[in-house]
Amino acid sequence: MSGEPVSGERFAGARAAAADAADAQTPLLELSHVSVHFPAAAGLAGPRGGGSRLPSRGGGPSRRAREVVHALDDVSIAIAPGESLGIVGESGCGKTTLIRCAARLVDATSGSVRFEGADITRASRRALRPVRRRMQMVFQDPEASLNPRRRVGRTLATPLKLAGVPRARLEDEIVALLARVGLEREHMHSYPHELSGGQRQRVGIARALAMRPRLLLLDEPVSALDVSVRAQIVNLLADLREGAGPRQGARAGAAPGPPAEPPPAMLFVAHDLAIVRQVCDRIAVMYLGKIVESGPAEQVCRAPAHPYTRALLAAVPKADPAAGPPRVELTGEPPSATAPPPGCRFHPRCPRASELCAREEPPLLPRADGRLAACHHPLGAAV
Amino acid sequence: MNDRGALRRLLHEPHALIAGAVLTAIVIACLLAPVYAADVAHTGPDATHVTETIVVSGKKVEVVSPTGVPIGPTWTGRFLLGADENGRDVAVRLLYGGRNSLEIAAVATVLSIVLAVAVALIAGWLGGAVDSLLCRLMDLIWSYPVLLLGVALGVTLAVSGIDLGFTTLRGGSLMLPALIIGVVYVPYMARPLRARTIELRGREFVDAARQQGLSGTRIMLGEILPNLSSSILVFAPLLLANAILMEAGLSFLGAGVQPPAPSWGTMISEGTRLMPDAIHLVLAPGLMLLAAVVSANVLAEAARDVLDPRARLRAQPTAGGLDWVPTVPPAPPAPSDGEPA
Repeated sequence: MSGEPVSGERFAGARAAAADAADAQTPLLELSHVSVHFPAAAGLAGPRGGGSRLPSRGGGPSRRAREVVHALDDVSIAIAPGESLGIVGESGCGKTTLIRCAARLVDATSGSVRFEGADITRASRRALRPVRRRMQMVFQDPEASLNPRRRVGRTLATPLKLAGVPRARLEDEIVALLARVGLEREHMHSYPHELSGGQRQRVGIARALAMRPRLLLLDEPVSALDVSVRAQIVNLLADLREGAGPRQGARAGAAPGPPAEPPPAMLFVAHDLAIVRQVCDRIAVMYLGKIVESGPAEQVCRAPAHPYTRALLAAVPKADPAAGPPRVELTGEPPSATAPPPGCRFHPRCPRASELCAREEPPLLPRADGRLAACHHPLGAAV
Repeated sequence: MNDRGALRRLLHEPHALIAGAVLTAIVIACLLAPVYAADVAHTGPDATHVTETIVVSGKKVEVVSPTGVPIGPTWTGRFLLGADENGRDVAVRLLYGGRNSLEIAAVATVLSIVLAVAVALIAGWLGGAVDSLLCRLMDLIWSYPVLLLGVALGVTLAVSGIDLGFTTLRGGSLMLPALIIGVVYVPYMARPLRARTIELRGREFVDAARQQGLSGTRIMLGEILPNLSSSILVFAPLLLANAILMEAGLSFLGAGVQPPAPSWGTMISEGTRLMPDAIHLVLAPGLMLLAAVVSANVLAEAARDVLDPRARLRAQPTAGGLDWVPTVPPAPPAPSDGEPA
C-alpha cells in the first residue's frame, strides 16, 4: 500500500542535485516503516499517560491486550545533515511518539531507526549512550524537563563535561551557552523555579546545545509557553538554524568538510503550522499515526495538497481574517487510534471524501512537484 | 524549595526553634553525662550506694530505707533526682541512659534512611521483578506490628547475637537494638520514597539526562536522589522520634538494652516495680522521653511546613488534627512507652 516510495523526497532531491556530496546521501536520521503500537490499557490497569511512556515496562498481557493504540503506523522520514523537518498534526496524531521513537525513548514495534547510517532500532542502552549525545532533545514542558533541585549552571555543566570541556573553561562555556540562547550570566545561579517559562525553555535549549549535537529533537518546544514568549523562542530556534550563515548557504556548506560548528539538524514537532513554517525547511503533516503530506515548507503552506493540511492552515489565526483561504471547519474529533477507520483515516472528517476514500487507503505518493501526499482527491496547485 | 532558604525559614518558626533547643539541650546534657557524674554527682552510672547515708538539708538520710524505698529527689548535687532501689543516682543514670537511647535511635534512624533510600531508588528505578521482590519484602516487614517484630527479633538476638559477616554483634551490644529498630522502620519510609522515585522517573528531566548518555546509576544518584531530599528531611526527625519510643518499648520489655546498662526504657521498666512509693523512678525517664519525642515530632512538622508550603495551607483548617503529614504514611503504632502490660 504505502510501501513504494517511502523515503522522503528530500532523498530524491539530494540524489539529483548533489551527487558530489556523498555525505548528504546518508540521511542523519532515518525512520523507515516505523510503527509503534501500545497496548490500550484502560482504567486501573495502567493509565494511558504513564503507560505510553514506558510501554515496555510491566506491560504484561492484560485482558484487553488485543486492543492496540496505533500511535505510529508505517511512518518513514529522513533528515539530511543540517536540515530541519517539521512534524505537524493534532494532539494524539503520534508526533510526540515519533520524536520519542527517534530518540529511542520509545521502542518501535516494527520498522527501523537509523542514525548517521547506523541502525539503532534495537541498540542496547550502553550502545546508545554515545549516539544519544549527538541527538539532543528539547522537551515540551520546560518545568518538568529541568531538575528542580539543580541550578542552571549545574544543569548545563553536566553535558558540557560529558562533551569534554575542561573544568577550567567550564564557566566560560556556560556563559557562552547562556548568551547563545539569550540569557544572562547571572542566570547560571538560578534554580528553575526562579525563572519564567520562556527562560526555562531557553535553558532547555542551551542544555541540548551543550552537547554540540548533530540533531536537535524539539518536542513541541513552544506549546507550553505564553503566546508572547512563543515568538521569542521560535525566533531563537530560527536564529540557531541560521547560526552559521544564511539558510541556503548552511545547507550547501554542510556537505564539504567540517565547518567550525554547523547548525544542528532539527526534527521539530508542533501542532501549529505557522510556527513550524518559520523554522523548518520541510514539513510533514501527520494524521492519526500516518504522514498524509510532506514537502518543502513553503510549498506545503502555500498550496497544500491534502485537505487535512488545508484545514490545519485555515486554523492558523490570521491578522486579517478577510485575506487568505477561507476557514475550513473540521467537524468532529479525530477518531480513536485504537480503531482507525477503514480506508483513508481522514475520510470521516474530510469535505472531499468519496466512496473510494472509505474503501481504500490512499498511498503516500509523490506528486508532480516532488512532494508526497496521501489523498485520492488531492487539492490542485491553487487553493 | 531550596534547602538553604528552608533552613532560614525554619529558624523563624518559634515552635521549631523551641523544639530544636529542647532536643539540642537533651543531646548536650546526655553527652556531658561523664562530666556530670564525676564533678557534680561524684558517682558512676552503675555505682551502688545502698548502705550509705547522705545529708539532706541538715538531716542524715539513708539512700535506701530499710524497707527498700529509695530516696526521692534531693535537688542538690548528689542524688539530684533521687536514687533507685540499688542506691544508684537517678540523674546520672538518666543522662547515661539518654546517651544509650539517643545513640540507638540515631543509629537506627540513619540505618533506616540509608536502607529505605536504597530500596526506594532501586525498586522505583528498575521496576519490574526487582521492584516486586523488594515490595513484597517490605510488605512482609510491614505486615507485622512494629513492636511485635521488634520484640521477637530482640529476644532472639539478645541471647545469640548476630553475625553480619563484616562484624559480629554480641548479645549485650547497643547496636543490636539499633539494627532491629532500623530494619523494622524501613518500609514506612521506603514506600513513599519509592512512589516518589517512580513519579520522578517519568519526568522529562530524567529523559533529558538519559539523552545526555548518563548511566542509570548516575541518574539515580545525581538526578533523582536530590529530589528526594525534602521528603527525607521531613522523615528523619519523625523516624528519630519513633526510634526513641521503639527503643524505650523494647527495653521496657527486656528486648532492647540489657540491664544493668541504663536506657530510658530499662529505667522505666525497673522503676515500675516500686511504682507507688518511688514515682520519681518512672517520672524522670518518662518525662525525658516525652520531651525528646515531642520536640522531634514538632521539628518534623515544622520541616514539612517549611519544605512544602502548600501542605500548610491545606492543613490549616484542621490544625491539631492527626493528618498533618501528607507525604508520610500513617504513623506506625507507637510502642508502649512504660505502661505496664
